[in-house]
Amino acid sequence: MKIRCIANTGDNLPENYLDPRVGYTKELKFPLTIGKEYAVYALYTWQGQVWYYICDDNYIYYPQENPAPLFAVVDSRVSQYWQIEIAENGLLTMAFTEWFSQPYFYDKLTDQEQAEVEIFAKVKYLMDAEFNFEESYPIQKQQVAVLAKADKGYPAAGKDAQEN
Amino acid sequence: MTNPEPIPDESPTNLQEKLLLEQAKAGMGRPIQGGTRKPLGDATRLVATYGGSPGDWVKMTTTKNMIIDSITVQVHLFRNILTGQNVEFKFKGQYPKTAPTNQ
Repeated sequence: MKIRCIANTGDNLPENYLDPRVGYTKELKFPLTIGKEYAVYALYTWQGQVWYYICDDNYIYYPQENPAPLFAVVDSRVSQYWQIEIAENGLLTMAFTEWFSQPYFYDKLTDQEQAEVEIFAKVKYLMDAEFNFEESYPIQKQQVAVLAKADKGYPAAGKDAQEN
Repeated sequence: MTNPEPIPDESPTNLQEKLLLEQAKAGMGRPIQGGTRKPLGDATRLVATYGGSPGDWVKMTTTKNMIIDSITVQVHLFRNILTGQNVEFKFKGQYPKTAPTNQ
């Protein structure tokens, strides 16, 4: 699935997407570029909202949720790597296998735990190739190999990156 | 999983990190995950440590990244969305997504 950004500010969102307690205000400028296409790595729908997990313009190592009304769908095909989970509270999530099979996968990914960061780098590479999303996937080959952590939790540049 | 001891904030080591941390402490952020939709894996610990209910806690990030010594850095924190309490600020970062040059 691929989407194109059509707006990047909170004032383009329906009221039910806004929540000032967590920063979702009309004034919020999302790290998105209007007209730019983004690959969707997971999505969820809950209480009438749809959110896409994408590598937005603040991407460092994990995909982040962005509200669907800021996008138009340009490729609606479902990834072969996706599964669906419907929780008891009505939360419907579509994501790759490890998202569901590994307890607290997204918690650990956003905490920059090495195993989960490596898994997402590999999944991103596969899904970008699946959808001919060429933004950066030749570089991701390198990223997959460059995930060791250094001081302060930053992934260190690996041996390959230093020597090539 | 439960740990009643608060995890201290990480300390900035340079001016850019200090500015980024100030941005986070000023409340300029957006959520990563958590809340009633799907409580955090850390929710039990956060409730034991700081109070509230599991669905009150959200993991947040700064709205802007900062590039520090070629590393793209953002600050993560936990917020109680009912009280506005922000805790456990951490720096997260990634080396630039550039291909190495052959030499």
